[in-house]
Amino acid sequence: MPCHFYSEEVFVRKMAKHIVTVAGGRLASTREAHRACEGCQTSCQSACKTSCTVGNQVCPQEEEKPRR
Amino acid sequence: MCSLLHRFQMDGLRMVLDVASGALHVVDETAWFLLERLEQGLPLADAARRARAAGFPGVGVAEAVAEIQGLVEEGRLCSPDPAGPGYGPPVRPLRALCLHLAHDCNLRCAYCFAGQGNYHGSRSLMSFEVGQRAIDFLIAASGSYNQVEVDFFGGEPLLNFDVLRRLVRYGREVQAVSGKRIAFTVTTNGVLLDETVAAFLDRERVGVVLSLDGRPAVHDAVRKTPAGGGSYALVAARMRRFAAGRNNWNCYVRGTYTRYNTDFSRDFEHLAGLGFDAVSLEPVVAAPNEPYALREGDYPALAVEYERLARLLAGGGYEGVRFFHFDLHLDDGPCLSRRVSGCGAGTEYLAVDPAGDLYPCHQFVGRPEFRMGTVVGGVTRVDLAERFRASHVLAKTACSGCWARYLCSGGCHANNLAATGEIGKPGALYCLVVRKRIECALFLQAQAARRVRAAG
Repeated sequence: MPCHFYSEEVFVRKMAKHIVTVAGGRLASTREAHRACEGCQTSCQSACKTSCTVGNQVCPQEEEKPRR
Repeated sequence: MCSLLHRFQMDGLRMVLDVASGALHVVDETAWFLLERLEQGLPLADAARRARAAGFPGVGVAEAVAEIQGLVEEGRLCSPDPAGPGYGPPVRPLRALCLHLAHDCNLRCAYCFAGQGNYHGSRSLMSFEVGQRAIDFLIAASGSYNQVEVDFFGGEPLLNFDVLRRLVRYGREVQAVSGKRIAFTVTTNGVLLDETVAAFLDRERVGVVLSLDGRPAVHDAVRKTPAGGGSYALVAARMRRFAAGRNNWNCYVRGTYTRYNTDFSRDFEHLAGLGFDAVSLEPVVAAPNEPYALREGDYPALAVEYERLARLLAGGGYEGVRFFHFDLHLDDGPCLSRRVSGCGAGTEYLAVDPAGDLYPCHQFVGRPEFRMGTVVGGVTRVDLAERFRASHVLAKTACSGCWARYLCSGGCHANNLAATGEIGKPGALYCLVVRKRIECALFLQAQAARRVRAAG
């Protein structure tokens, strides 16, 4: 694997012939689930300190879940 | 109709991001053709007919159609936007403070947004008492949160190391009483990062962001000492020793690239070669008339660099090294409300100047029109807080239809203001850069998945 942080996160859900799903997509399921939770960092405090691209943040609650 | 897809290619990989679900797919030519027609508004059956007419084998088209239908049913393709009409981020309590321990600096960096450290005002240091009140304010305002964040910033915060040390100790006392954990970080240029400071930061588990731009000539061209010389020789060895001493734990190198080094992937290589395992390189924020300011015309060169950097990481030569903006989390990333809320400036995140005045974030400090209150009296400019809260990605005209909206969140308010005069309107170059970075990050995930698959 090229980088440890990709290898831990990437998994292939479907071994289909024409479409390989790299990431499953769970955004809809989080619409209400974590509205009031408090684990994640404010992105402005993150390493870049300027451009606050939220996709770089990790949700601690999701991180703890086992991978399929 | 399937309008919420972003299709892009890199190095022969055809990738499709389902914007609304966040699912990422790698597709072959047949599926690519079909999805392109779906985006154009054709029903799947018509797209299939077009594919067969274009010469794709019928069996393959039927298989691809079935796979697309399956993914649509699972909510991983053509899925509806989860935000929907009227969705907005919830009101959240304060979670993080940026304490400006020093409006002074021992360097004179050409591109410093803080006016070489003094934020265009007089040079000053935060007193322990102001810092103490700030921590009390944070704890009181943080509602039900059991974890809060304090970043020591400047200027150069280590010019006020004694107060930093006392505030960390005070924070630990407050932590014990309140039950709220305080995560401390410090952003430093490294000049004063000696063994005493390092030992304290290690012992107290303080996260560190190191300002180092890359190759010596690149760094020295803009990060100058007061006497006008370069600062690389002064700081690089100290930073290396410090990072190695803590085994890179919670230690980020945060560099800035400018028009002088649009070949910044070489700076990533240099920094990784020094042994740092977490690197962030950000485009400079500058007035357009500055010679080092990036211009829209620089974008093609920047895009080439991001792609080069992605290939470097995909190639396996930098195992264990993280480039912050390629480190996207698709499946364990933030929830929808966080993605919509963005950085939290002005609401969940505030900056405190040495006098104890509150601002939406560190980049607004010193601008009277953005002064929000004080650590003693709290936030009095509720209108400003509401303005920042309301300036979320779905409320931004330029962002609400952008494919990158749930990975970008609409950009930095301060960058937006500098580029366009509005906190809610990102600049064109900023958007181009962010989209390219996200594509490269998705490419890396697709590359890794392909390798997993190839390995069986």
